[in-house]
Formats: sequence, structure tokens, C-alpha cells
Amino acid sequence: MRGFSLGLLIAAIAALAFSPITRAQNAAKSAPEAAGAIPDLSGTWEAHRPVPVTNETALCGIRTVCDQLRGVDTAPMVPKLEEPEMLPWAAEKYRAVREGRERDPNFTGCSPQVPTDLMLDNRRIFELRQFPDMVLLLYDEDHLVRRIYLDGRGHPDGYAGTWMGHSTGKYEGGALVVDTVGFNDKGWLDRVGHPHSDALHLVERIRRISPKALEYQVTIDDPKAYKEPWTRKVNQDLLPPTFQILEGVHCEELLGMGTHYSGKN
Amino acid sequence: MKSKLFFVLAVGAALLMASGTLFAHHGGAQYDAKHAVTVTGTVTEYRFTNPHVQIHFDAKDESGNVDKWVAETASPQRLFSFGWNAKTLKPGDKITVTGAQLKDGQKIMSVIKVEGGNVPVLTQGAAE
Repeated sequence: MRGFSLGLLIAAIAALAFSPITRAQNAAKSAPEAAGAIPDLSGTWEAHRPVPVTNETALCGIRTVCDQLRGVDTAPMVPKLEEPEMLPWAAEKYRAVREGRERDPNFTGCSPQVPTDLMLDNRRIFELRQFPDMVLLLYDEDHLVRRIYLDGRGHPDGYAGTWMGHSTGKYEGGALVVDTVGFNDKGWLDRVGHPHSDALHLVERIRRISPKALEYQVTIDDPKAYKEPWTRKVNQDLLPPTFQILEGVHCEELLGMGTHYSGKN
Repeated sequence: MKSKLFFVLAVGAALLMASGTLFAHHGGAQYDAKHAVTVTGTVTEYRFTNPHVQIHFDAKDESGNVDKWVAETASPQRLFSFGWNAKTLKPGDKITVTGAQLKDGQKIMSVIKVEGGNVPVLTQGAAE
């Protein structure tokens, strides 16, 4: 009797191990991982700061002011970036922002941000979570969320012009490659004030370059605003697992909402 | 009807600007960063708010008059990472603040150093 039971148990295990369903599940789970096709990008990240924040500068709200007060010049630590060639209207809009003739809504206003600004802006912290059918980027800024669909869908026809666009993605060569279209023409690509049109098309590549760093590279293709596609690249530093993300309500003060943190309460 | 709407919008915009644009994101050109000022006073309000934490405090000038100062520091996220929180300061705390004052003479400063209350010791060597 005991031998019969043992035989049944072995047969059941063997049947389970060789069943088509189990093999399919194992294959689906292990093949891409074994090949390294799905990199682990999860974590809480912050764009690398060329000028590190130290105890001595932690309270500084404006780096240039602190530099002068401390008698140091950190400007050489900030990499110089090559300017993209703009079409006339874009060049004029950019000049207007740089000369203070037009308000950059990312800097002083309440307009939502676009993906490049969130990733290239060195103050934005985000949590990246990977799921089989989607990657989520959860930002501290205004509770913004980016959904990057991995389920094979395309960009929908007639997608309304939006601030963040419509994003699809796939894993390729150890990187998450994200394709985004469907923008409006009201946003800014970065804090410097580069404008964009509704023809904006972004291709972003996110890959892990070390246990504690991601590389983020974006190709900006906007034929209505720029003569050629151009790229920007920034590394993202991994924050410790214990890091607490605070909400960053961009216009809390501007709209007079900043009282819930008040020491009065 | 149109003029009434315009008036309402204009008043609304003016109120918005008057109430909150002092510290909303800006550059540093308006601060006199060549000359650090150090002011000692008493906290009247502490706002652990975005985009920059604010400390409102009263300080007596050389003639004994009370000046109402506002000191602006970094973001709540940054300060939280360096040991600050919503209870670090409270009204009545005595503080000494070093920073750059607005060039136009308003009692507003961009901070580099704060001492007093429950402020963690962080900064050293602020230019005097």
C-alpha cells in the first residue's frame, strides 16, 4: 500500500512537471530573464546631481546664491550641453524664455510637465515599478504618473494632445525602450525652456549601468520645432530603500494652499 | 458683462500674485549674494511647504524696531532628507539665520544657515 501511494505521488509530480501549462509558464518566466532581456530597473531614483548636495549646502534654495555666499563656483561642474538647431518660431520662444520675456510655466507657473522635463530636471524623484504588461513611473511632482504599456498595443488614432503623451514600450538589448507621441504644443522639454510642438516624438532608453545607477537617454524628434532629432542623456542615482518620497505640489504656494504643513497646525 | 468679468478676473489675478509669488520658483539675480546677512529673531510662522520651506520671524533692528523677516530655504523633500520636518521649528523659537537679502531691501532672504529650535546641525562655514 505504501509503495502504491509513493508511486502515485511520483507520477503526479512527473505529470505536473511535464504538463504543457507548467512548461509554458516556466518558459515564459525564465527565458527572457535568463537572456537578460528584462532588466531590473525598479527602485526609487533621482537624476544625478553634478554638484552634490552636502550638509553645507542642504538648506540652499538657489545654488547660484549659495555659491556666491560661500565664495565657490560650482558652474564648471555642470556639463555644458550642445544646443539643438531650432526652427525660427521655436528659437524665438526659447530666446523669450531665456530673456525673461515669456514665463516658463515649468519654472514659475502651474502647467503640468512633460516626460523629458521630469527626467532631465535634477530635482524630480520617481519610483519605477515594472509589471508584465506595464511600467509605472510614479513622481513626487504633483503625484504625476506615467503609464508605459508593454502589452503590444499601438498608439491610438486621434489621441488628444496631452502633456505627457501616450507611451508604449518594449525591452530591447537590456534596456526599456519607450515610444511616446500624442503631445500638445504647450509644454516645455526642460527647465532651460526648449519648446516643442504637437509633432513631438520621444524615444527613451532606460538601462541599468550599475547596481546603483540607471542611464536615461532620450531622442527628441520634433520636425515642427527642430531641424534635426537631438538627444539628452542623464544618469539616475538609486535612492536607499528607506527613502521617503514627499509629495511635491508644484503650485502649493502660488495658489495659497501651503498651509497644511504649517508649524501653526 | 464683459467688463465685469474682466474686473473679476483682474482682481483674482492680482490677489493670486500678491499672495503667493514672492517665493515661487525664481532665479537668484534679485538677491545680494555678495554680502551675507545674519539676523537673530523669533519665529512667527514656519511653513514646511512647496516649493521652498519658509521661516517667518521677527527681529529687532539697531533702533529697537521690529522687522518682519521671511527666510526661504530648500524644498521640503530636500530638508526632510537632511533631518528637518514639520516640527523642526514652531512659533516662539529663537533662531539665527544667515543668507542673502533681496537687493531691493525687502526683509526676505535666501538661506544658507539656520540655528535654533530643533534645527539639526548641518552647515558650517557660511561666508560672513
